[in-house]
Parts: sequence; C-alpha cells; structure tokens
Amino acid sequence: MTTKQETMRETTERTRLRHPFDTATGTLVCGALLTAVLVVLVRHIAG
Amino acid sequence: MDATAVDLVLRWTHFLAGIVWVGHNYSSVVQRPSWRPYTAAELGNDRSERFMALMKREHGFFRWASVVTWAAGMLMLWQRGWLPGALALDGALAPIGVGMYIGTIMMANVWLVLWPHQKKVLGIVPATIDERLRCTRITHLSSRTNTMLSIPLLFFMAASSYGGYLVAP
Repeated sequence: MTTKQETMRETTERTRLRHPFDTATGTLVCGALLTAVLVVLVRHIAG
Repeated sequence: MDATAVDLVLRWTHFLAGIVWVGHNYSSVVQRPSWRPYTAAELGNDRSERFMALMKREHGFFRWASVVTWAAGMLMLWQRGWLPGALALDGALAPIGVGMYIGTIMMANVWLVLWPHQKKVLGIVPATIDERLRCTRITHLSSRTNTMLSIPLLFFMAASSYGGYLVAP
C-alpha cells in the first residue's frame, strides 16, 4: 500500500469516528431527538 | 378462539419476538459501545462447521424474530380493523402508524442492508479481507441505525395505548 493510500485510509477512519452512531451515547441521543421531532410531526399531521 | 384471545396471543408474540430482535441490538451496544475499526486478525478465519452453524443460528434467530415481530404487529392492526387508519396516520391511529412505518424500515434494514454485508463479514459469502473489513463498518452502522430507530418505535408503541392523547388538540 502506498503512503497516499495509507493517508487516505487514516483520514477515512478519523472521519468515520465522528459519526454519532459510533458511540452508545450518540446513538441514544439521536433516537431521543428523532422521537421528539416525530412527536411534533404527528401532532401537526394528525392533531 | 375469540377475537380478544387472538389479539392477546398476537400481542404477546409481538412483544416476545420484538425483545429477541431488538435485544440483540442493545446487546451489541453494551458489548461494544464505541466503534473501533476491526483488524484483519480480529475477523478470524474459523470456518469450522460448528462455528458456522453457531453464527447462522445466532443471526438467523434475530433475523427471523424481526419477521415474526412485524407480522404479528400487522396482523394485530388488521384484526382490529386499524390497518387502514394506521397506514394513513389518521387521528388517534397516527402514533401506532408511525411505529408501524419505523418497524417496517427496521426489518428492511435487517434483511436488505445488514444481512447481505454480515454474510461477507462472517465468511458465509466469499469476499476479500478488505471487503470484509469494509462490511464491518456497514453492519455496525446498520445495527446502530436500528438501535436508534427502536427508541421512537417503542415510544410510539407505548403512546398508541393512550388513544388520541398525543394528537389531541
């Protein structure tokens, strides 16, 4: 593997680590936020 | 068996299979809370009949649990005459309708995204080591997507028991 490829892979890995689902907390917070958004939408659509 | 008994059995089946299915996702969150890229060595090369049977049984169990959960939920809605209202997100049926749509997305995620990639990770489908490593990332995100979606799903399942409380003016 060339140095450029290695750098690209490292950059990709670092970027991947920033995804909210990469931690348990991030996953649960996203779920809670989505719940809140959907509650507002449901009240708007069906209320 | 009368309609109430059928409804009760469907509800029980829905809960039981749902716990088997979604419990698998939460088990993964507890065992591996933060993403760490896999190495080739971690993937392992155990292709023994015993190991492959174990993997197939484990993954098959929760995959088919998703189908049982979904089917029991849909049958329950149909048997109660709620299906059209839930599909249309109509009034007091809107919360369970949202839950139904989220559950459908989650089941599709298991069968159409997670499982095809998991087969490569496990070596059930032949793939290069790079491809298998790439697939571990996809299966991680796919699994976590379902964990995340289970939070509103369970909320709207619970909310459906409160009739029109959520949508009342």
